Amino acid sequence: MDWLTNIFAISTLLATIRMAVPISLAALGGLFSESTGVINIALEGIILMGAFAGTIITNTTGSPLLGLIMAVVAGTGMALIHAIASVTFKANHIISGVALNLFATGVTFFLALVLTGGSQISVQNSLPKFLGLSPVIYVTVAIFFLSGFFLYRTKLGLRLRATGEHMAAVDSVGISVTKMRYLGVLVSGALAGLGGGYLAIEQANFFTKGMSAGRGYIGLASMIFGKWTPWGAAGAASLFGFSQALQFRISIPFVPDEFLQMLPYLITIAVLVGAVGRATPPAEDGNHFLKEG
Amino acid sequence: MNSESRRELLFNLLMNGAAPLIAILIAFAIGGLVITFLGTNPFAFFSKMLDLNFGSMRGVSQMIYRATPYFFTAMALSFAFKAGLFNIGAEGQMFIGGLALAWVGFTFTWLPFPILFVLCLVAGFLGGALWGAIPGYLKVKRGAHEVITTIMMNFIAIAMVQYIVQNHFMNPDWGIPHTPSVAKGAYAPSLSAIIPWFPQGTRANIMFLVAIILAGLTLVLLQRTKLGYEIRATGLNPSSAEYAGINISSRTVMTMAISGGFAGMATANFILGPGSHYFLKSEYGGIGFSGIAVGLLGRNNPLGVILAAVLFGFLENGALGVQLYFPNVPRQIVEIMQAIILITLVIVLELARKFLKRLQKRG
Repeated sequence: MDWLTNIFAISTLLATIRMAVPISLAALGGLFSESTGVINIALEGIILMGAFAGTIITNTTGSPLLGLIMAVVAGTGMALIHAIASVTFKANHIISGVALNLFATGVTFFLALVLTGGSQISVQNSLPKFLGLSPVIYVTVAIFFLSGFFLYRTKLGLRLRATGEHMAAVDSVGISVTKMRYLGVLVSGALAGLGGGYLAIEQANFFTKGMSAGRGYIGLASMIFGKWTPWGAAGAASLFGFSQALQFRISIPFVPDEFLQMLPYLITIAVLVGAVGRATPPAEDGNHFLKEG
Repeated sequence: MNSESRRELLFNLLMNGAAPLIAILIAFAIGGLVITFLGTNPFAFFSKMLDLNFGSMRGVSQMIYRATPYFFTAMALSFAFKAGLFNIGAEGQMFIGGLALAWVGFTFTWLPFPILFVLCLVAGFLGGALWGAIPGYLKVKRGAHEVITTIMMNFIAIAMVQYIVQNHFMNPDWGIPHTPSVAKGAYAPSLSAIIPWFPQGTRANIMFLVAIILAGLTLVLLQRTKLGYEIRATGLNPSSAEYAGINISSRTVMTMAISGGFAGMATANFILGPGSHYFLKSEYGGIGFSGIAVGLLGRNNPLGVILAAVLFGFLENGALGVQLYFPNVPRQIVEIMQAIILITLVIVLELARKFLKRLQKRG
């Protein structure tokens, strides 16, 4: 029964926290974007882009901090394209997101081949650990506290959320819907980009093609399961982190490894099936702002 | 010509003709810039690609071979789109359908040619249909958004297919995990066997003709039958469709099943056509995802989808061949170009729509 004690070991808890970071950052990113009514499926590609940019910059400058900053910049850049397409040009949010995900998959693989000749790049160094964990983990916790305060207690945060609930009302009091939506989408890109940078630099210590492996989508599912609140999203992301931690740490007798690999994705579906109906998305999710006249 | 039909013609020309062409041109321009940056002359690169595809009937034949599977995964997206559904799960549906059709092909080995071939296609369709219907059912019953569930089903399919092939069908002596080979009765005849002037010894096979026939049948289904009408009505306005007495739930599940069925047949081109004749997972990866771009580029119209699939076949076949001549340009350049086509198409379409609206206002 070794595997059973393994599930509840401290090391599994720590692995859960480590695995939950990129998912929770993606979930929070999705929350910022959808607060303003913009669906951001591109989170998946943003994580991948952040992971790639972070890896390259860490290796060329020798500084994992610069790498993480670059991951945030790359994520924000991807989000900017999503905002231009889906807010300014009013393209379908999902199509724009899917296009960006295909783009990220192609570009990162292509550049990895051009720059290194292979599809996997190891990261030379990472940030010094603090109490056994990556400093990014503490930063993530701080970001969640700040986001909770920002979204519910500040004027700008309330305006962001109001945009997702009733665009016309926001517009009627002289607030620019477009600006709010850009802000929400860009913040989502920065957060998911950080998640990607963490994934490559701090967690895996390498970049490999397609390494986001659905974390962006799982982040969106966490956001839904967490009922579009920061703490709900963090809780749901931890559940997924746990399922991913299990996959690497245990091997249950008679259960093939492939089935453990499926677990996070099966749980995502189970969560969506169970959560929806009880959770309400922002009213303007996926809508375009069309000013009359 | 009255102003109404003139307007419709202009709409079609802009949205279905000019917009995709502009997107393709922009993708080639950006791709050319990247190639220049790598120290290669883009004109030499693209003209070599052109030569590899259209320089000989052999090239055309290889291009068709590469284009065929894209038609099927693209139709998975486009068919679901008609009912307002986003099926991003063609990748998983393709794998499940592919394994199902290979299984029929190497299990019922005593069956003669057209029967086993057709049975394989049916199995592929059903496998993909099952994998597509599940997200449809979950959407209808529990409101789970199909975008996320279809993507999750992709990951589950990939792990499942890997498990089944490795543990149940694979012979350890083979090295790479794949299934046994399908029986002769399942082979898809090569195009040269039907069309006398087609070059011998290339892999283009009748799955391309099957694609064209299915495109025609889909048009008839959508435009001329009650089911097609109900599917389109569901896509245009679900609440008024429901008010008109259409059972949206059953139409949603059925649309997702047919949509998945298309993707399920995508690998028949590789498994039943001339070549290895077994299911080899690593050979098909990405065709489901690229199908999204093909479907949207084809403007979700079955005939447009064929054209878009041929363009993707052109890019892929060209990229595979051009590597020999320009080894410093990775062939993944075409993946970037495919994504750029999609992003620019989305924006160009909205610009065209705005332009048309302005025209309409002016009268």
